[in-house]
Amino acid sequence: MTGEDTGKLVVVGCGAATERFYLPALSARPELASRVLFLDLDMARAAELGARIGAKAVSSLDQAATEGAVAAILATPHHLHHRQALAALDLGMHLLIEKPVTISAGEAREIADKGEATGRLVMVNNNRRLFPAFNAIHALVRSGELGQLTSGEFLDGSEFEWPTVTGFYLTSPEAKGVLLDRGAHTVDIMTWWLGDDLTISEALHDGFAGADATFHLTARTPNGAPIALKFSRLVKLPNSYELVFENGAIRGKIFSWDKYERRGPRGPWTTVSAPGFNPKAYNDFVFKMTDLFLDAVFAGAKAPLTVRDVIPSIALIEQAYAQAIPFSLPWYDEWKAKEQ
Amino acid sequence: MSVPRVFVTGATGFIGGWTVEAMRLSGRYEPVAAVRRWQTAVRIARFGVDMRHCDLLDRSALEQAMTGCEAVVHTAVGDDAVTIQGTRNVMEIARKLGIARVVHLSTISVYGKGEGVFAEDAPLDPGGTDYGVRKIEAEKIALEANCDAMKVIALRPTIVYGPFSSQWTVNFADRIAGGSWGTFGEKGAGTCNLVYVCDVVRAIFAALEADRGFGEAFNVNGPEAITWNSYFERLAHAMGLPPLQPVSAGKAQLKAKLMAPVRSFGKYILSNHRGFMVALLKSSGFAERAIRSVEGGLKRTPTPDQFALYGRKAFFPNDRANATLGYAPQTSVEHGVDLSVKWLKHNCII
Repeated sequence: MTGEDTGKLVVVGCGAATERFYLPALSARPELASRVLFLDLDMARAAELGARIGAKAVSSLDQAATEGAVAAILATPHHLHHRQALAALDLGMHLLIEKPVTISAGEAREIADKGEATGRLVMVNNNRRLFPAFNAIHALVRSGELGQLTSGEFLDGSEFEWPTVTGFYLTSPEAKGVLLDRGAHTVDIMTWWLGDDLTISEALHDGFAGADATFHLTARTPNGAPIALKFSRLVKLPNSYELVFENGAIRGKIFSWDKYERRGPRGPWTTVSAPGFNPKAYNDFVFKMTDLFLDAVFAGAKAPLTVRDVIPSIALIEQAYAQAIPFSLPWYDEWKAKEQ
Repeated sequence: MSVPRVFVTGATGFIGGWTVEAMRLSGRYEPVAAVRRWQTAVRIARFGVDMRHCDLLDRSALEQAMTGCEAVVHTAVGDDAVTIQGTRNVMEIARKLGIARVVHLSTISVYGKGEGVFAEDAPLDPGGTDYGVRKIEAEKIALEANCDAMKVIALRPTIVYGPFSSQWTVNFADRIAGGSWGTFGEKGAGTCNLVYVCDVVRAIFAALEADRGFGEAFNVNGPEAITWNSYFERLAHAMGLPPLQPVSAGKAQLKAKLMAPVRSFGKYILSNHRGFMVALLKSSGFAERAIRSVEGGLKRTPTPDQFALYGRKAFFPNDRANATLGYAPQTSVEHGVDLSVKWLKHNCII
């Protein structure tokens, strides 16, 4: 698409995502080492991470542009993405933005519009879109072979183990909670498979005055089929999905990315292997997404996913937060009663 | 009237988390939560409380975090360093900052593993569990810090169960739901000493507000003395399961002994070769099923130490806490178990 073969790349934000994902991904591309810059409010941290691959630290996007940056990876807290993305686009940079891309659909649209207006690529790290099984299911569902959806369920949860450096996930009200964090993947997969015309019929959260850690919602298709989604940062859930259609059903484990199960209207479940990129570790999908971005920017390859593709999921998440009411949690009642 | 600001150590743990939540919900105190690892703060972050990143072994960070608080509830526990030096740091810094009240969470493990009735004047047992020995030392440090300027009260909770209890609620629910758990006859007829976690929080609040009992330790037990078998039966009933069947204690004990080396090996592998295990799980469906099966078996098999606990006839009366602090447990086992099961279901644990 772009073929910027001499410019530099700036990694914005030197927290856990950069250390865990982007640093290893970039270190696997030694030909880029002299063309990578690291940017963070904490310059020492930027210098430390940069030094690991012989890259330079910079103190601002402007300085990065002056140094020749034509592309940026935004790995900052997600409530900062909107402002930083617009600033980077103003400087003519192509972007790969960590998920969730923004905290509202309006912000995501603005980034998409600006990217298109300026002819700059804006990709998002919704890396589950690279799962072979999810691609196979997308093709199957969209083929119409299974008929209309009658019900669905996604269960996505585990204890929060993300090694956040600043704790912003938990301390910043704008960061919201588990729905925006895990939902950025799962709700995106749901809308990708089932369409962008889903609505929210029920949403429940446990964020008393802070970040929700449990979120249950029911989405509905235009014909009224319910899809239950449960998210948790407190406990491990089965991390599974099951969708029942008029002419059959599919189910699988979210992190079994190379296979899913399928049955006919009454038949037994059979395992379907999905061909394609099948690494041993989940992190490899982030490395792959980074490679795809670099190839798109520096070698003119086709981008697999842009910010516009994930706007329906961000819109649905935004709607869910707007509609959400607190769970009834009777184990807290005795303390709440004393407040009155 | 201003609400007292209370520094809570161990705020991301089971009892500390409940303390923070109850303080915030009741509005009686303004909790300031000590957080060592952000990853563990998800639960209390739901309440938008003041969280301060610090480590009990980093005196400078700890002092900064404790500044501005009027009281401390010290629930943090860990290895020797955290439990002992961490307690020393908390007490010394609290004194330095002019903090007037400290409630130290101790444990009945300080009495060791013996049988009988253990009131607060019973001798502490330095030959008990490693945990108990550490807590003896920590409690000693805490109570010795008591003075006119800083009143210290120690609480010794019994078997604390309820929502968020991995040890005494989730583990048993898992085992019961797995279908291989039952009652153990005389081997499960020991005294369970269950106290619902909100009753422990009530004791903490009582200690924060008490006008006496300084420099003393108090047992904090529940309202009913039931057996472990009875606890298992009540939990199964509340979970909507059929009555538990008796399990041959002899067979179960033999299994526990046979599983002991597997348990040790598993701990070693997880501690030293976690990456290899993850790769193995991913590489082969057969390996994953086999490892999960062993893991499930281990979870559902009591260890010899657990068997000793389930058969132990020991009771820890509340009389002193009642007379001095005005503490009285309010949550029946039936109600506490009911709330626990509602929480387990809400979180899809069962």
